[in-house]
Amino acid sequence: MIRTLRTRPAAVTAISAILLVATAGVHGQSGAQKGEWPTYGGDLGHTRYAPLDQITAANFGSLEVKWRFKTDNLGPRPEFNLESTPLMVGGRLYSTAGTRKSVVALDAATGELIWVHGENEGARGQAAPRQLSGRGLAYWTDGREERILYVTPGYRLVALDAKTGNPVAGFGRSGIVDLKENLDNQKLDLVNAPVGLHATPIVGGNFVLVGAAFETGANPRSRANVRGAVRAYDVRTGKLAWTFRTIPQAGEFGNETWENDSWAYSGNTGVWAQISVDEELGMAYLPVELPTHDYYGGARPGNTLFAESLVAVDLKTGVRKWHFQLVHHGVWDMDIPCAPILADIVVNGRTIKAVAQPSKQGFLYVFDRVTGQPIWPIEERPVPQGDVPGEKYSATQPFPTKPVAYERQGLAVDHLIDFTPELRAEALKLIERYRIGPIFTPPVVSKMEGPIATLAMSTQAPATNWPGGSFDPETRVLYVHSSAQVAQLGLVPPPAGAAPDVRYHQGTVLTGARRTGGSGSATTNAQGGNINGIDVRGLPIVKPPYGRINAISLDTGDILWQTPHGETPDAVKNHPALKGLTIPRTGRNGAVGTLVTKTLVISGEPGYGTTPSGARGSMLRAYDKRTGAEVGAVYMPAPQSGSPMTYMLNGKQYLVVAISGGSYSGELVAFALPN
Amino acid sequence: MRRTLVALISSLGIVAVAGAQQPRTVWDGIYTEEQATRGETLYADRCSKCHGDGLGGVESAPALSGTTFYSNWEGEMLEALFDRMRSTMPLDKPGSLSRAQNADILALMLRVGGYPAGTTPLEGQAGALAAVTIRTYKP
Repeated sequence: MIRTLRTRPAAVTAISAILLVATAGVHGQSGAQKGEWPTYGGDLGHTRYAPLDQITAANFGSLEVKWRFKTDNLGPRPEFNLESTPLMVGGRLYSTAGTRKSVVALDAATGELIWVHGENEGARGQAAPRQLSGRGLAYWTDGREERILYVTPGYRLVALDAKTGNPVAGFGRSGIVDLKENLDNQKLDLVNAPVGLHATPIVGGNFVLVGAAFETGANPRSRANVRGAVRAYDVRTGKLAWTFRTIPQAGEFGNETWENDSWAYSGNTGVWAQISVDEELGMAYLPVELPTHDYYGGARPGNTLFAESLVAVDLKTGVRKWHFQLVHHGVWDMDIPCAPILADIVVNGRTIKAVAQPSKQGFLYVFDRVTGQPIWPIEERPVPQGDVPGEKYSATQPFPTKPVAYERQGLAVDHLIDFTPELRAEALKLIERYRIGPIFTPPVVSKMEGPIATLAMSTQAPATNWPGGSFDPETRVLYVHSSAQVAQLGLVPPPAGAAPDVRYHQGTVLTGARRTGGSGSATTNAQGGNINGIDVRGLPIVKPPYGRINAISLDTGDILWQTPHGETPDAVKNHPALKGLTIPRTGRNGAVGTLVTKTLVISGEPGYGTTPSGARGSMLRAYDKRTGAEVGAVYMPAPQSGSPMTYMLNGKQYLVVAISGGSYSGELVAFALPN
Repeated sequence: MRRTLVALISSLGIVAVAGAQQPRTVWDGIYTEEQATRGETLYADRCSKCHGDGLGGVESAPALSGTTFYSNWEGEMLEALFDRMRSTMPLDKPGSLSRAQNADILALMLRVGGYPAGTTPLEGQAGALAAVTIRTYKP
């Protein structure tokens, strides 16, 4: 057991907590209530909706910064990737932050620090596969006691007294449950086992649920890895209540889908995204990732349940109620990246408790969350087959018939850049040595004479990533950001040092193992295209929009509007080849989340650019949620890196967003209207 | 005490070096081929696991080249990028690479980015890059 050093509240001003939360932690699926924001997704169904209306289209542009909280000294060095969505309960704002994933409690009106808790996990923290401050934390109360729960980089579940920041003595061992223990009967090295969690835990029905995250899976060291599983703990005691095995073991349902006994050694298949909970139905919804190796499945033949499946389990027992596999035998890294959104919808006059799952592949999968039945048919259709030695492809894949894909998928000639005939000709020449095709076109073994790789949008370079979407329970419209970006899906022999059971790593002959781009590489250049980004003279190879917000009615399954999100990147706007051309706003790609309020959809643009004032920075933008028309924007010195949240306090609506990136370290910024 | 002293010397260094430098951009041949080649080996050992073999990025670790990367650093001083690398990378052992090693890796990044090599190596001492501006396109 390693020793931990705690930053006790000693160093911090203590402010007495006056507000008491009157009711137990039932948050429902109807958005954030009472002006608070008590869970990562606003409610347990991750709607990211708050029915607040002080900030409107008419005044959004006049928002001003009410406070900032800089996170630099919460670890031994500043963090530049602050992804948290803070919580606000009873006038206090709670967040993870800093390179050690510390927890802070702030005065939600002023940003003043109330307490801070940090764990120095030493070698265990250094070995963590998921570093930095993660997505945030969870809050629980029984009406008297209030707790904050989070998972450290070293994979320990910590319960803190929300009033003081002190570990809760009666929870686990002195406030801590070691999540490397009792992980599906695996004997793990407590320091070095490569498992962690950057998602938040979620508390529902007095259980706290946690998943598992691993190193990214493009280049595994072995076909074997730690198995992911989902576990529930008693929120009062920290006692393990149940485990849901995402890789069924001998004799269990789904075990036969792991051919050649691959269930026995395969790992990963964790839930690294946010879990959702319906307390009323007593169910939890688990978005599961891929098994070991994101791009080559030769060592794990079969459909490998519950990989890339949405699984509904009983909240009290962890027993599976239903599941739906979104991708069979995945080799595209289409693991489910974000929270399933719980949505009560009305289809043809019938009210349905639904769950909607945004995805990397740009499909929105919508099910009856009680039964698992698709709301609109999802058809098994034949898909392209590949020729990678040792691989055994699924002949078909599931295709939702509605909604239509909200982002472009695969790659077709029609998708290619067409600002000028010259650029288009270059794009056509460039793709000659690559394989292109529709969604589910598999990766190739990379060859110098071609194909170098399969090129595809909405795969590893995802349409939607971890921030996921939002849902307005009043109008039953779902909002989600998507990116159009092209990934290169190629396989190369692994470098020396990989286990003999690893046949391929992701890469290409141009950039493959131990062959970083150098003078001998094919092309280079911010001006002339570079070897990695498959771009044309530095411009994206696909037409804009590069990023957009999509509004989808869950009553009808129709896309209501799509609008480019983010100003045209400077590198495009100022490109020498585009001089004299008028390019409509292109939007930007990146992982950004949305917030819905009574009238607005709010999201910061990904990446930096020149803002209207001329200053370098990024804009927080608001759209009319009915039409998608932009109605206001305010300046931020750095891009949104965590999804925005909102709350009411003392008659004022606040909007808080985590920003960071480039040379700007992590900061929480709170906006509100002028006094 | 020692740390204070080092910080003091560093800050003096910034003033001294910056004062002596002419404003330049990444287009002015600020690294050597030899240096970038040294950077390849270092990159493969210490960076490629997360950022990909070709600086193209892998999932959560961003690309270190290309439009998005240079849009995010456009107009910044190269010193800021160097400091970010030096203080936060590699993520599993931040600060474990020397200034000279970081300079070699930065030289590789510039080469992959298409910026021309020159005859003088990129210097890693504090302040050396404070007068070099990152410009995606040739000014």
